[in-house]
Amino acid sequence: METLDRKLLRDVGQSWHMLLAVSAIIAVGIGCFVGMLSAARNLEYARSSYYSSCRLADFWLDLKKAPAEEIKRLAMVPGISEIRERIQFHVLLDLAETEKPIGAMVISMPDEEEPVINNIIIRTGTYFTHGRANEVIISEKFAKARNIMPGDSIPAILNNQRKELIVVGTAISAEFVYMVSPGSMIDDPGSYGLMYIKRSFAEDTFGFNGACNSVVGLLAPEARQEAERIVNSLSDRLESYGVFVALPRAEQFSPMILDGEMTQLKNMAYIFPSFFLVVAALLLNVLMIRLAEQQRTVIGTLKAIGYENRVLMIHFLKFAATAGLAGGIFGCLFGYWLAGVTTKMYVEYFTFPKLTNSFYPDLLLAGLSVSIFFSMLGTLKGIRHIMRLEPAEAMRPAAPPIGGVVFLEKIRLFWQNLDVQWQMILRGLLRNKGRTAVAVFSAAMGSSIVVLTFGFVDSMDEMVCLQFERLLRSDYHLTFRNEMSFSTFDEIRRLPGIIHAEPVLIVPCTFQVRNHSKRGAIMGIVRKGELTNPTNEKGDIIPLPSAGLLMSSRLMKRLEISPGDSVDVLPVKGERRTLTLPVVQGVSSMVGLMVYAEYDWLNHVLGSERMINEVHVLAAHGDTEKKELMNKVRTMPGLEVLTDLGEQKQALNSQLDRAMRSSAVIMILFAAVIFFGAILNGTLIAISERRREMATFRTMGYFEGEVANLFLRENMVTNVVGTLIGLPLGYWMLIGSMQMFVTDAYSFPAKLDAVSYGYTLGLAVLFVLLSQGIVRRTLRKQNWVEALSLKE
Amino acid sequence: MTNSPILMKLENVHRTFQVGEIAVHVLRGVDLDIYAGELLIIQGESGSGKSTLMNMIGGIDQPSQGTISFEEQDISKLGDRRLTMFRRDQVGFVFQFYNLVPTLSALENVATATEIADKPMDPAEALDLVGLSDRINHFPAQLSGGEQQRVAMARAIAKHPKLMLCDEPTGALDHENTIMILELLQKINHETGTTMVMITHAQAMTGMANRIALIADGIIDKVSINSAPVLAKELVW
Ligand SMILES: Nc1ncnc2c1ncn2[C@@H]1O[C@H](COP(=O)(O)OP(=O)(O)OP(=O)(O)O)[C@@H](O)[C@H]1O
Ligand SMILES: [Mg+2]
Repeated sequence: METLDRKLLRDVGQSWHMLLAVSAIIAVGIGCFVGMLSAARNLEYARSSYYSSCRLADFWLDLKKAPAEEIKRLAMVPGISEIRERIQFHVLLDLAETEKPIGAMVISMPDEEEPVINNIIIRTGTYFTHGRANEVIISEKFAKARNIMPGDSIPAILNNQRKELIVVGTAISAEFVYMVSPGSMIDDPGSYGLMYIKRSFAEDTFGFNGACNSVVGLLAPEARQEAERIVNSLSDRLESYGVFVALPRAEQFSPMILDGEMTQLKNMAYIFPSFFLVVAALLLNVLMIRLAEQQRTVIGTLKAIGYENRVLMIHFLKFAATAGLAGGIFGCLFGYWLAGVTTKMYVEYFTFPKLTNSFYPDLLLAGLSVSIFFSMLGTLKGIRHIMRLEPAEAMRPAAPPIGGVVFLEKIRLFWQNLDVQWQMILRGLLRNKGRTAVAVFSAAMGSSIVVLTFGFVDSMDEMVCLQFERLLRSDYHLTFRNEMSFSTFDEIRRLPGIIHAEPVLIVPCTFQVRNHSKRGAIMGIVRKGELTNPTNEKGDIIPLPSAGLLMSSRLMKRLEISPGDSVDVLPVKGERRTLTLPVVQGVSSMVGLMVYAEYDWLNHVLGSERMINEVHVLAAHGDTEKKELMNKVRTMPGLEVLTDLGEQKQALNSQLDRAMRSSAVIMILFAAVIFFGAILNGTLIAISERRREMATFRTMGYFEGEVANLFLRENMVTNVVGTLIGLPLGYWMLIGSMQMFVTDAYSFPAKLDAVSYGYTLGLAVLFVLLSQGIVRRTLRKQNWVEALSLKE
Repeated sequence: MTNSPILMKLENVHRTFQVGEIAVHVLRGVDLDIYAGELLIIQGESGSGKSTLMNMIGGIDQPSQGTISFEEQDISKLGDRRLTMFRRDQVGFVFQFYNLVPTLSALENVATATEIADKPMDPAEALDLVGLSDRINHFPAQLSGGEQQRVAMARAIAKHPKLMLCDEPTGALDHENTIMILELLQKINHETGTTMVMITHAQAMTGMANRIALIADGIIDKVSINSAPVLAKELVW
């Protein structure tokens, strides 16, 4: 081994504490980088094989009812390579063990197994047999959650008739990698199922002989870029059959959510780690400058005896590279583990035939390269010191540090009231500006991550609160397939256990403004109602106008309109004439792109009698009352979906509890690594630099604790200042990330409670106090006598 | 010795340092010849520019004006790389405060020089020459000042330099150690014919030199020749 390398090893051995502090920060950064990218790739691989084996559609159209033969002819349309038509309905199941009816979606499949678009993969049992008409294949997740097995029978209410369905198998489909029940925000596998039934049985049961209401299709490869255009022209063409939904794959719920998740994961894989890597590079710079100063004469001597700058540069680069290499290796291991944990979490949310964590050598290599790159970045300033150092110059003693008055001293009243120790600390901090700035910056980064974390939790709590305590106050929503007369509402109002009920009319339609158009629905709710209260982003309730629309601000943005403008509305059902309606005000809409109107006014502009297709109710919570109510509800003709908001809120809360709080703990631990790493790195450097000063204090009769206190105060100052800077920084990051999460399906509020600022500051102080333990241990191990006689 | 070939020739060497606004003109036209194999002592008051001059002879600094040639090759305008090669191949330095690498043992410190030299001695052999064969694995902190300086000398001689430069090599040592170092230097000078330039404040040491150059007011004020140099141990203090 070359002698210089031996020196390197010993230098590393002497400063391993500081290198370790830096490596730990690098390791977290690289771990997140490798972990998130690996997880994204796990998803990507699982997705591509799943989509192709199920032959996932390129577009979806939901219709009222259309002749199957005519739909099949759409395969001739240029750009379309294959079409499948099917029958699908929301239904209620009449399971004995549940109090309330459980919802499900039935989808027709060919009687004989064939590789259709949006095919299913059988997981247990078999495909349909020739035996019975009423065979059903149910989604695996639902089967597991409800403990249903092939051979069991499920009573279901299909088209107002109670029918027994015989389960022959369980299956999964790429169409529903992610699924939530209608009107819900999260997946609750037991509360909503998928049921595949024979095409012939569906035709008979729903009166759909030779007809269909769902179209899925594949596009020719060269037409995929134009998916949006083709889908729009298809939906125009089918307009007369009543088109509820027409979406290309990119906007279909499950593919969109999955896509969004992967995009976010990849974005985060670049954004989040950069915090850690930048802090690490800065800390390494401080360390390298210190090393260069400490080894001034050594460097000068080596230069004098004939070492080239290049050789010395490589020597010091290697020193920094040890931190990068160690951080990179631990980071890769950590990243692999993190990818495993993340992937396991995805297995819970997403349904794939196989989603496992794999080893990606190229990502590990990338992680290693990034960490070494950042460690090299961390040597830049120190290396410049070293390169610039002239050997003749290095032989002369270093110029004594600049003295002089710091600006704080000019504020006499303040300065004179400080004790000597504070004066010493503040002077030191202000004279070592670069180093102080790095300490403050690190604390700011650490605290912004903590604030961001608290912000996520606060925002989710706020979201649940806005959604279930402001916007939706009902216990249940009863949704009907078709419009019902007002007498149905009266009937429901008089059911046992109903405390209060409000009629709702939902009008699926297309909104059109100039060249923008978007499919959606208008929800007619009663004025001065109690159960549905549209709010603005801040959560203030917006009163419902007697005429005109309250529209989701996001939809207004998409249509490029502002309050006071009009929008063309083309209802999907009924008389198909365009209505021009005024938009009165924007409202917040966390789930979907909601549009509200006054119930009677909406009926009036549609030119219809008072119609309903949804009823919102408050119900008594007693067990017997609930049971009685549910018994009546389950046999209500035309009822398609029963939404239990209480249960939804509970499920949402428990899922957030599990997912959010555990990832919050991890994020705060990551932030702690930054705090500890920066504090220890800085303090250990300061100790090594000021050994003689400390030794002098000790000989003067200072206690070890008093000497340690100097460092404690110094760290308090830099970390409290840094944390205060990090607070608004974290809030901005919160707003930024909430904007990143916005899709057509969801948008969440950014909310940060005032106490969260307090908690963050408290945590920062706690981190400083905890790291003081290590500082004191290091001080205890110093040999003061040696330090006094040391000639540096 | 003045009949030996000239190893180095300094002509009209100036050196100015810029300190903020002020230019400090330290050397103002030094002319000096250094003969192969001689022992030249440079004297002068503190701050007169001895170290500055020595740095330029050794190629760790360059003149603001004038030429310095080594074996008839001008080194005063060499680029960093060629200058480094000059130091690496031709010059051995011994400093007042030894300047050893604290994290390397005696042997390893010597190896820092031998590893980059052309046909060096074995580091152990060099340490043997300075009488430290029983200390080769000691670290600088475990050695006395005199021992550390001997390691520094071993580091300097191990690469067989043509020129050895010693800036107050005994400045931090007691009498006994001073004599020992001087004896070693003289032995090297005699046995290997290495040219030696040494800065010292001690008047007594001039007795062992071939020539003594005195710097004053930025020039070589006087060069005296000592026709009968004595052995280090015979110096009169
Ligand atoms: N890099 C520099 N920048 C500014 N001034 C310098 C520099 N190097 C040397 N000087 C100045 O040049 C003058 C000569 O310095 P030098 O070190 O050569 O003196 P010296 O004769 O070796 O003194 P001593 O006997 O004390 O070692 C001094 O006044 C010194 O301050
Ligand atoms: Mg000097």
